Amino acid sequence: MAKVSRRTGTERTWLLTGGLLGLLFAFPVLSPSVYYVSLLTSAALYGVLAMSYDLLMGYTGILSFGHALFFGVGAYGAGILMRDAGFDFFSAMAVVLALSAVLAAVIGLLSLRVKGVYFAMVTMAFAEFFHILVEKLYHITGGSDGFTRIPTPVWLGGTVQKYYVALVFAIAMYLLARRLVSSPVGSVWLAIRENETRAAMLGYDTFSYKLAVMVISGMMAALTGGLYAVVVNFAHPGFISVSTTINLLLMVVIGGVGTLSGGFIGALIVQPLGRILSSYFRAWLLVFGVVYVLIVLFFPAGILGSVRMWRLRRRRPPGAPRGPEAGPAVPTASPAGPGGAPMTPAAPRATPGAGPAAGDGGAGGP
Amino acid sequence: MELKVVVSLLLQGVSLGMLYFLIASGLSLIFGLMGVLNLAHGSLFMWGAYVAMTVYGLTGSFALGLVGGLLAGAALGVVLETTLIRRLYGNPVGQILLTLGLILVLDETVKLIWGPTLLPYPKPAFLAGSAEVLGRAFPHYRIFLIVLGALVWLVIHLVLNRTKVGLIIRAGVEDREMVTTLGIDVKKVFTGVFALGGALAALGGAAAGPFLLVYPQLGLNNLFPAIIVVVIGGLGSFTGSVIGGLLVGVTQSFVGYYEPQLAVAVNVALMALVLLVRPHGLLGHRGV
Amino acid sequence: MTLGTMTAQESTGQALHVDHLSVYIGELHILEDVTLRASRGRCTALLGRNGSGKTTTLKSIMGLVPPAGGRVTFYGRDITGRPAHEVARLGIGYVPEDRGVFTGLTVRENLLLAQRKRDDERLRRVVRLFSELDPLLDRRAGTLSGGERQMVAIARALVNPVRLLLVDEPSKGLAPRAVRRLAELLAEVKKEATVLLVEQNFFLAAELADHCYVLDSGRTVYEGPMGELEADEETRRKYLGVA
Repeated sequence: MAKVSRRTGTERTWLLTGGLLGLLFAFPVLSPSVYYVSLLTSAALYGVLAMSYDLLMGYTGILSFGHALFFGVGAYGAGILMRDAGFDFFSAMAVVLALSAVLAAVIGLLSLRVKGVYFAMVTMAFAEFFHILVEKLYHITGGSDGFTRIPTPVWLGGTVQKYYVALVFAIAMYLLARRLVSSPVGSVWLAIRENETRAAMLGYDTFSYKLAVMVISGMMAALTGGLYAVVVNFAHPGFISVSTTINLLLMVVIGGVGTLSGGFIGALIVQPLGRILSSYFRAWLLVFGVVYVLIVLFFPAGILGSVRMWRLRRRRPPGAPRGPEAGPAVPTASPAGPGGAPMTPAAPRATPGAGPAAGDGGAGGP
Repeated sequence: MELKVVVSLLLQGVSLGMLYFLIASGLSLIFGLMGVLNLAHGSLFMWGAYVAMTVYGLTGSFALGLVGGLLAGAALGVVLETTLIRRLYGNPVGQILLTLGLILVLDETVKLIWGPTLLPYPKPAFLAGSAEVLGRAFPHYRIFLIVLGALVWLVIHLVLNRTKVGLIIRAGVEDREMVTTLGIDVKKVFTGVFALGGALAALGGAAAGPFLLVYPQLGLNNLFPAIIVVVIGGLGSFTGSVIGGLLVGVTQSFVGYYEPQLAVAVNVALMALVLLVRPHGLLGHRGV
Repeated sequence: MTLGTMTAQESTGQALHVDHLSVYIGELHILEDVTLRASRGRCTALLGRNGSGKTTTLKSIMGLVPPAGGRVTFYGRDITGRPAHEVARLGIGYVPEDRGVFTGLTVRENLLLAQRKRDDERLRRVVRLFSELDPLLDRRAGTLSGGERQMVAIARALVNPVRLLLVDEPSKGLAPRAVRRLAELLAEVKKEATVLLVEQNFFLAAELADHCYVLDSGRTVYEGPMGELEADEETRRKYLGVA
């Protein structure tokens, strides 16, 4: 959270948070239809997924295109273990966590050897590999028909129970993520995002820190995937497709990169709002795409980031120093130069050398 | 394995490889020169297929269809570069996010214009048959793809190595800034290369249409093979995209013959192998 | 040899005027207040320790680093912050510190790329001057030695009519013999073009330059004829670390 120096600001934030939580917990009572409750359930879970993606992208500056892979591994893992191997919910989740940790470590070890765009491409290929694998291994996964009839534990029986479990899960994951990013490890992640070369020169083993964030966010995504599969009772190859990762990216970018909670705002917009609007309006996705492009071009900090920057600008005299956490990450902060050559300190970044067109690149700046 | 099977599989792999080369080369060149990973490249490929199919349907001329697709790709490339992508040079993450959004816009537009279902794009009669190669049937259409790919390779190779523009592109891939200090306005070249990349992708789509069928996921589905090819060949290397394309195509063809399920998996494994040995691809260099 | 780089009326007076130039990179002041002039037909040296802002000054003149303040005028024309390709077309040649030779291109291609208006005669004259390059024309520049690459870089700047040549540390990383040859060549070039030379090798600068400026922490701290600085041991020790 942006550290607001004035007490009134802090109080207002608490009040707002409390009110929001109250509203969320009361939602099943207030909602006109149980349909909206289930929409919000999936938005909460997608929010966690987007948040785990934000740990990679927004906090460490790693642009992965394979994050959906872990979501899918969680969903299929939990599904197969619970339906066909007789595991109960919690032991299935434990296995999923261990499995995803190993998988994330292996993929990280291979793909973190390259940076920037290369990393994005390699992770994308890994995810696509699993996507195809799941489609082809018909006898285990049900192929492109999806994996159905995942048993639901009794305590997760009804729509409302599912909602509350998802809500509590989301809050717990949010607090965990918040704790992580404000820990010393989190500040190294931020340092890597800002300038990996510098972080390395300060003596941090940046590779290990990046591997750590991949494993943590991968486990978080897998856990979310497992819960999601149990909530909706099925898993589908589409969970692993790049479209899912793209959706996550959209959520994080729209909500605000490097804010954690932005992922939830993005999930709310992409998921329930998208589903409702697309049922009335055929061109909704096109409109959404155009809006997204405009956000990338003109509000690169996303909704939450833009609001925060606007509030900061109102509160602070211009030119006052900003703490490292004060400003949200704007996607301009790149982990590496084009193609992954490590960023050399300061000079080439700020020069038109970064692109001869820097003169008209103003739209991309913070 | 019998020789005739080997030859047949090889030809099949080369035809597939040529297709991959057509998609990947533009992606690779654009990245090499501008540092832009144009994720919407697959969508341009798909637009090429749709426009070609439509023009072919209207005029009855397959060749006109190809030209139409090619022009549509070039035009889209120019429009995207001059209006949108240009704003984000020097901001690789911003570009990825932007071109990602363009996938959405381009693909949804295709759905609105042509509908969400699979559409027929018949092979022209003169390419519908098959030839006999060492006693095995080999479709004419695959021969056509090989010839087309080889032709495109030759033309681009000559442009890159024999013309001033080619010289500027090759130098720009190495060091854009230095090129500008020689009095060359690289931005104009950028637009040109985007047009070329779009045209190549769209031509690939136009030629692949009768082969892969035409549907709104065509773009995304072909983005991945293209990416694998580019990673293997080395981003920014034109020759790399030829080698990468052929390697992936041939591997896929041979593995697919024995174990169709594994064909794609093997390509990913191939990519992982190349990355372990040469992280920047077979012909990529660190600077890019 | 004659490269015909200067017209008669340009042979005297002021070619380049950098006036109170400042450059920021992020929060960092790279150039605070740099003022210098390069006289027509002369070689002006820009001296200073590592990180004093010499390279940034050249890049800023060239349009590669946007200035935050100040003015750059070239033959009376304001070129402050103009894009590099426009600056180059006015007749300013640039030889960067890392030489900027395209390693994937042959020597000939490097030269041809640079020539904006095809002029084979001029190309021949340049190659005659840089005689070592003649047998190397079809070699890939990546296979050349450091000294050879430096020659390609300077030759490349001369294939167009050049009114001002910016040369950044040409002797860096070269063997003593290559430095000797470089000094000969630059002495030739200097007869034909106005040169602004950044050099760490004080003795090379002293040999070539007529006039000099010393930068320290992004400011001009000394200006005078080269001969005077050679005699001024204290300034040299203070700003350049050479006795």
